[in-house]
Amino acid sequence: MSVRRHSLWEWWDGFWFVPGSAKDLAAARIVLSVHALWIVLSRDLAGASGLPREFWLGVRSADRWRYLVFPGHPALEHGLQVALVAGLVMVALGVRVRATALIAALLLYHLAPLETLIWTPSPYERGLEISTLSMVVLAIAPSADAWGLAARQPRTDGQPSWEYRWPLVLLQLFVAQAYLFSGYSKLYRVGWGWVSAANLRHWLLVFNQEDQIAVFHALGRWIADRPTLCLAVAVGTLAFDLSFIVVVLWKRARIVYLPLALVFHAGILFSMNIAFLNVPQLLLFVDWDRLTTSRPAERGD
Amino acid sequence: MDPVLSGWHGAAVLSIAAALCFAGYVLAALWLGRPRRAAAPSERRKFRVSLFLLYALGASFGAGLTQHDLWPFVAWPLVAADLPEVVTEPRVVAVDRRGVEHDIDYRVWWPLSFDEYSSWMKADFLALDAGARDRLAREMVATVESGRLRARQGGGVGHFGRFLGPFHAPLFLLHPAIWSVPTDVPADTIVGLRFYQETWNLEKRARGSGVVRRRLQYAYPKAP
Repeated sequence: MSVRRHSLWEWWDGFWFVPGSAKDLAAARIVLSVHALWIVLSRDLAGASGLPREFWLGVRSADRWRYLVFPGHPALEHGLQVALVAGLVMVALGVRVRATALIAALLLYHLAPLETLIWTPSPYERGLEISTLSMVVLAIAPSADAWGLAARQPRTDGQPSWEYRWPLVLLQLFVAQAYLFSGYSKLYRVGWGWVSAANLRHWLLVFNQEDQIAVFHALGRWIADRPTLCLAVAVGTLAFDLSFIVVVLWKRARIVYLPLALVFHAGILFSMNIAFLNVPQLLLFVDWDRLTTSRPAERGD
Repeated sequence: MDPVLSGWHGAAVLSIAAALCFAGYVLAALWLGRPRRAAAPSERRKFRVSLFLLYALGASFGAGLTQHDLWPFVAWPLVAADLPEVVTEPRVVAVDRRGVEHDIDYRVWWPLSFDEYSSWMKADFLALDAGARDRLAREMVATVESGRLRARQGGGVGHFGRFLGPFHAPLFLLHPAIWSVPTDVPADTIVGLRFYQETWNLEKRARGSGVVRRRLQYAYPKAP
């Protein structure tokens, strides 16, 4: 029993606490904050607070308290939105990340639900869920030891350290969970019946026939008219979703999975008119340290 | 959805659980991130980091594996349904002075996105009392009319690109921008709205033999 416990700890230690790169963690900080800025600057989250009160009548008080959202104060919410933008810019620049990332996380948690709260308390698929979780991690990780304007003396003198590894792996895991649970939810809610040519054809048809959604028509209809291809796409989608998590465990798998992910999302965009807003977060899996270290000797080649 | 957690009370319980889950996550991070703890000897610090990781894994895998959304710990049920052959979708159309119906550009509903607006119309609008519905419809008509005027003058609709221009983030579901060209915008003043539920058979429509059945749910102003 104690041997098993010992080997479990060894595996845990070897997974989370091996040396990691300050640059890779800094890159994750920049990618996540710029991505969150991209979404926030493309919406008016605070504006929902000024909607006519009829929109808010169906919102449960538990949901308002959950996010501390009390409609009718658009000026206050706009002030918080400006603070969020300022906070995310500071995180991207690596300025006082411990404080600014935590403030950004709390403001994201408060403001992001304003987009959907009138009908659902879960603003998932709106692009800010991973950012909200990630800002909390960045607030307690030495993510500004590299590529920061106000970088303090790095605690490791720039040497690889396990303190750079565990936060990055956790952030990567949050991204990979989107795929894992997307696949799992299909089996959980529908079962193996989801993997059928007919079901995938119906999804393709509805997103192409609904003229309030359809921007691209050709690819979806072309696939829908080929039952064998529909089945192959359904099988491929489920296999890709469920297996994507290997990119967290095995670096070499990224060479295959990252390009595949781009093709996967481009296919979904052009065939189903769905834009998966978390795509830029795949940049967390790029080996930035290796890419930005030009000399072979520095890379250890 | 677990029957215990469905319904109004169940949803409220889930909401409270989700809030506690996120609060615990932030508090655990604050506990771990205190400067005194950050400087702890390596093995002790690893143990504390491990406790934080276990919390984060527990919350995120808990939401995913039970398929109970605890945003920002998300269940990610993307396209996770067995779609029936017959589907029903909402549609709101604008009515001009001559009584002609027009589709509305999705950007008109800014700061709401089309997906939130149409989902709310489907789920909540009809539950309002008649007075509230009419009050809101009057405001919606004004919103659509002001969007129409701006689009007609080539001034753009909504403000999705106000900071990032063409590089702004798209919505999760794409929508055609039907009022991008002034000549495509209704020429006459918008004075009313109609809210329909549209039902059609996917297979029949794909074969070109399908009919979209429209059921009027609400009209403003009411027909005389």
